[in-house]
Amino acid sequence: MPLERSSIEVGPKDAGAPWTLRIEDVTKAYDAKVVANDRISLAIDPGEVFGLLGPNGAGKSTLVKQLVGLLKPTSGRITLGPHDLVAEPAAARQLCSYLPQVQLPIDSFRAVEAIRLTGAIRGGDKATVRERADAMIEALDLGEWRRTLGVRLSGGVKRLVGFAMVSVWPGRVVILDEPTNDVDPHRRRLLWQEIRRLGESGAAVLLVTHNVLEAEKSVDRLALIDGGRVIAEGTPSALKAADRGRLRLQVMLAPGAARPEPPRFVLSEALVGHNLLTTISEADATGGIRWAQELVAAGVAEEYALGATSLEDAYIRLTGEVSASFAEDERAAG
Amino acid sequence: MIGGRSLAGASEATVAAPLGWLASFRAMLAWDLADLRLQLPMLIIVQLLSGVGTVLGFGLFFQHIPERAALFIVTGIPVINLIVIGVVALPQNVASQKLSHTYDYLVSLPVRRTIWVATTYVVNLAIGLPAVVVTLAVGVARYHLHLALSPEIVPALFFVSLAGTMLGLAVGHGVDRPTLTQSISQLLVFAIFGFCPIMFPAAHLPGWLAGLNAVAPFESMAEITRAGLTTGMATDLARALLVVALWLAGSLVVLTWTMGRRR
Repeated sequence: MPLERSSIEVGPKDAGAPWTLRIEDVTKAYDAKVVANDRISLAIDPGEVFGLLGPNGAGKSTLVKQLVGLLKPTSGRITLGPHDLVAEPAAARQLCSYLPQVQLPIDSFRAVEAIRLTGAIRGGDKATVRERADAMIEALDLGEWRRTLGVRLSGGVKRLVGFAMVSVWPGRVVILDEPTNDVDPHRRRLLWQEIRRLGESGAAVLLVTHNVLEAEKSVDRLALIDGGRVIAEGTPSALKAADRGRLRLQVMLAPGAARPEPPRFVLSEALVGHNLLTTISEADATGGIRWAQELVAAGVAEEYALGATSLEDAYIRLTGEVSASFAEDERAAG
Repeated sequence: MIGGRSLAGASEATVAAPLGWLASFRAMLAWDLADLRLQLPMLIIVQLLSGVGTVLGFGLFFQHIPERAALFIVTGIPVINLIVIGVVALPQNVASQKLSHTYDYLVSLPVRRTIWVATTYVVNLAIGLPAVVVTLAVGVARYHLHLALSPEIVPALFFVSLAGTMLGLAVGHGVDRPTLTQSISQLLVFAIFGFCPIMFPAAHLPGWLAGLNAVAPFESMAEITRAGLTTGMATDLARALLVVALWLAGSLVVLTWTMGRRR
């Protein structure tokens, strides 16, 4: 059964805000064959936490690297308030803070020192930077590693220190590329709170993440990128709207069992390991349960679950695959 | 001001105007020194040991070294050390930043390129100069030499280190592929130690290789240094200054085009 693909047309928001980050028709082509970004248009307002979701290789990191002046668009405009960030890469560096996907080079730095020095480099005054660095260390529960050298920090703690570095004296736009990687669940919650606080302080937060479920709870709006294009944009609720009246039927297949042919009422499906994820209409709930029970009885499946749909289902519907975080969780669950 | 436009209107709470040059230099120097915290003492010690060790090693290898040869060795080894920090260690450092993708983060910081260059130069001087002084002192004592120190030695060492640093940065930033950068720097070590008339006169080389060295920067760097340490050994200081100045200018041109360039 072919997967359902659709695009939710939600045009760029135009709030008329003076410091709105506007990405207009941005295309980045490395050569004739490799088009990493294809006419991407987005607008992110001050105070907004905006999620950028998509599979690996979708073009998310390429897009954010153009915002901070690391890559130059092949065509299109990127503006922030009165500044053309393509023509003024120095303005891009001053106005945008950037946490890349890789760990920051802080092996030789004490945690608090790395945060303070970054604040100083970004032009913050000494007293305020010290105050904010202390506040962030406390807010992220990093006190026990305050004076620890980066080389001795775990990946998750290093990630949090990196977040504090880019946030201690943030620009107008804060770009966070997978900020929650390796972070433990307790501090992950604290991190999300701080990301929200960044937005409340007036920064436009652009969050690149593969964690669809966390993004659903934490972003104001999001764009889904696939194959270098924006295939959907809107609030999490708007993206899930097409799944209203639908349920997720998840069938755990028996090891070695062939993928069963789904009944006609199955609206979408994706296989993650032994896990067959399908969506069905609420009206077909009884039929769905019967089908799943038959699979269990026939030894094809071991168990099944029926539940509400989430943004993950919208992600599957739009991209044709599960998100990386979902796949990881499923693998971890065995 | 950025690009001729003011940042006025940005909230002071979150966005600072760009730092002045000196303030930014101080902040980046503090960053660089913290970044080298784990390696700096070791780097200085390695420089000292390699300089002193090589000077003393020649004495163990040969029972008798004529005074002029000893002068070449003692004044040449510190130059080699100074050059190697810039031309070999720096490109490898930039290459490793590119390989680990931390280069992108560093380039995304609001720091002028001239400040990157200036702090790198200061750090290179801090690593290299102690070894130069100690190596010269040990060499003079070991071979009973008499150096004709002139005040020009100070700007000469600063100039040679500057040219080496810029050349190294040009290789590091100018060559896109980090693995190629690493190969080039390895090749340069081989060339500098074996085939550049730094510890021996150019006359010892075949004509074609001596000709090549006349236009390459390393022999001239040694010549400039010797002019401040000895009398009569530097035969054509003006030409040496011109050669190194041209290499310095070329390196700066490459750096201007390539340092942190948008791809």
